[in-house]
Amino acid sequence: MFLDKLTDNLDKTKTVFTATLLLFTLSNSYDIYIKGLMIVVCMAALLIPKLQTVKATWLLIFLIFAVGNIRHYLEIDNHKFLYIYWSLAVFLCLFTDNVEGYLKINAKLMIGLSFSIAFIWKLFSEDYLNGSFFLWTCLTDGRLTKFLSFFHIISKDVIEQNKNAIHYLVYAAPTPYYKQLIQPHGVNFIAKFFTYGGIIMEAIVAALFLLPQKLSITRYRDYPLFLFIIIVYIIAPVWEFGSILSILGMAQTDSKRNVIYYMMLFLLMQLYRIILFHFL
Amino acid sequence: MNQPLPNKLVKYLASAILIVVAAIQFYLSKELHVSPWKGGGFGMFSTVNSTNSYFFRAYSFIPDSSEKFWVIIPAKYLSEEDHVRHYPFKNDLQELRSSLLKEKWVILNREIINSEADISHSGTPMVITDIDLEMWQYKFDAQTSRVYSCLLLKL
Repeated sequence: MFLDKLTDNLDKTKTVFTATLLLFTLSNSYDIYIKGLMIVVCMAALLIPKLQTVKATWLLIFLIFAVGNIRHYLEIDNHKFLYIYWSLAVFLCLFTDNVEGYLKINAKLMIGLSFSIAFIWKLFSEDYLNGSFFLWTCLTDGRLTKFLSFFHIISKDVIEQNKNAIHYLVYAAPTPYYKQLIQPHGVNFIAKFFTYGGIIMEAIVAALFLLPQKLSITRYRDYPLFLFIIIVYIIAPVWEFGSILSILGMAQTDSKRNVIYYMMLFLLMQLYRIILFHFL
Repeated sequence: MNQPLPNKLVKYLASAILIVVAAIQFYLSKELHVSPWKGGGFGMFSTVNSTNSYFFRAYSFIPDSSEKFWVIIPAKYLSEEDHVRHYPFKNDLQELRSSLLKEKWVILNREIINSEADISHSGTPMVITDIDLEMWQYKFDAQTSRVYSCLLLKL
């Protein structure tokens, strides 16, 4: 009932625009000039709400992202591409008399396509389905090993020895052909769990967001996406990706209550950024 | 800027660009050693092959000697190395190699170090006329828990 009160006069489009501008203001950038321009434009639109429905605002944001990042095309993270596509979509939707409706179509497609493509990469990867990627990540990647050592699944000594093995492989001359990593008991099971859990979740989200809306099962598409955002971004320190997914989720959901849930996820991503990644 | 746009353009243009960029990244990664982790392909968390998995080896023959020495790439080339990790093409590797050939080197313990990087060593700086520069990648085998190296590019 409290949530119903919150959603009483909720303007979904305005909320989506505000969240998008906030995210773009907070996001990191390769280039200090891009970051500076983006902060000025987005803050202006946040302070002067009428600017949020002006086409030129979103065209400018799209151009700053697209032109500014083209030099770093193979260096920028994938969520930055979503920022470019989303700002273009908002610009185009403002030409219509049903902005909310067209934003919904664009957001749904972007979520469905990005998850489908991610699923296809994993299917065709030489080292995903055999568990290699997640086993490697559990044994060597600082982010996941911190999480695992917090739960005493892998010790700091083992992590250190594995990092030294990789360091030796990279810096020794002549280049050794291979180095053996230490694999504690139980890590393989966890790696397999992440491997199959991850790809199954992506497949479910992709399917529910791309299937025709007339299929009743698509009504439940928000729930696997909620779960994905909550779980994955605890471990993967890509709060910006979780944030843009929350915004796209907000834009495409049919339920006003789910708009609030996506807003909470957007806020949760900021908490992850500050608390989890600084203290873990 | 107030003319209405065709509905299909509004609905599908952004997503169409998404698909095209992802397809390009798929091709670059399969054919040209580009990491799937970036470039709008959404291939992150699908493979060990991130840009961190690429590393470099440089060798040279000192003048009047048939022995091959290992060249330590100075720290000031970290950003150039990082560039080649993201753009693992022969031209970009060649640019790094050309920059290294402009440096002066001193020999230390069967290695060659850039004389500007380590001025505490005495020795006559020399110019090298040729450097073999290699780009390697490490991969991981879950069956054996071994990380092994593969040669990707060589100049």
